[in-house]
Amino acid sequence: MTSQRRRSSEQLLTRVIGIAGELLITFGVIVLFFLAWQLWINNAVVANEQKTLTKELQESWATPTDSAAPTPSASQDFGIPPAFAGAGDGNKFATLYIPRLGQNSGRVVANSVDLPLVLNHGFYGHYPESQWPGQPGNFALAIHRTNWGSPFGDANKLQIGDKLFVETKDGYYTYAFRNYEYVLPTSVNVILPVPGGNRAPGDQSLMTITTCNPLLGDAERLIVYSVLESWRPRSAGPPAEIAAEVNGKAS
Amino acid sequence: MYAALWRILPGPLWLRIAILSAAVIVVAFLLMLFVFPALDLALTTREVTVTK
Repeated sequence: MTSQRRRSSEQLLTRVIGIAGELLITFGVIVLFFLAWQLWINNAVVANEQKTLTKELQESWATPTDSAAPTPSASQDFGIPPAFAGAGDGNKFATLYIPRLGQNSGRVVANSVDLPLVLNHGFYGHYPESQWPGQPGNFALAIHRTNWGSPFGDANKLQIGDKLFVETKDGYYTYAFRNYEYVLPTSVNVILPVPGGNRAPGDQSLMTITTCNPLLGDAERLIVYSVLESWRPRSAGPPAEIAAEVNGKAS
Repeated sequence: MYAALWRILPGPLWLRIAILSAAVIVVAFLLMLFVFPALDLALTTREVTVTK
């Protein structure tokens, strides 16, 4: 009688431990799946979404072009870049291409630096208080360094003079990479019209991109500075360096 | 737990495998679409902006 009861209580214990073990194994598998999702799956999904968004934005800007008009040469100078008119809060208003970061570096720029709404969907976020492309001052953006579909993992491998292209409804602004700065997360002076101080910008147009540093951490910020060099109107077509990606021929 | 699940599934072996595969796919999609984004936001907020 007592040995029978002991046996049944042992069986119960075995079953409980068995179920607990299966739950733990299941939990472990889900955690591994979550890591895979964070590192690869979500990255690919967001990058693909950005590709679609880039295309949609471009189609919304498309204007009927006169095919009989002579195509301007790649080196033609179109004069002083006009200032971009601005965009509403949270609006998508541009695409930024950085050929050095790969064939599919194009990401849409939205006017907000909200983490869950904008940055976690692979956008460049424009600091709303900073200036616009072509305006004297600082066109300041933020983007994730890794994950969330970011092309920015190799951002610290830019070389001086590397081109960054901002496409808006008006045309293409060409910026040239100038320098890096590694700062603390509280260094808000990097997005001032003249980074580092309270001075008037004169006629200089900068683009500042803030991202996290080190890789996979956010103890510091990596700042990428570039200077506005030239401009091409939309009717002149995309600059040769990004023509393949803009025209959807990049792999 | 999984042994009991296997016992209550109806049909021959191939049908049980098919039902389980479908269930795994559904669970995986629910995780990726709803659970993981929420978890990601709660666990890994990696700041990239400069703020006071």
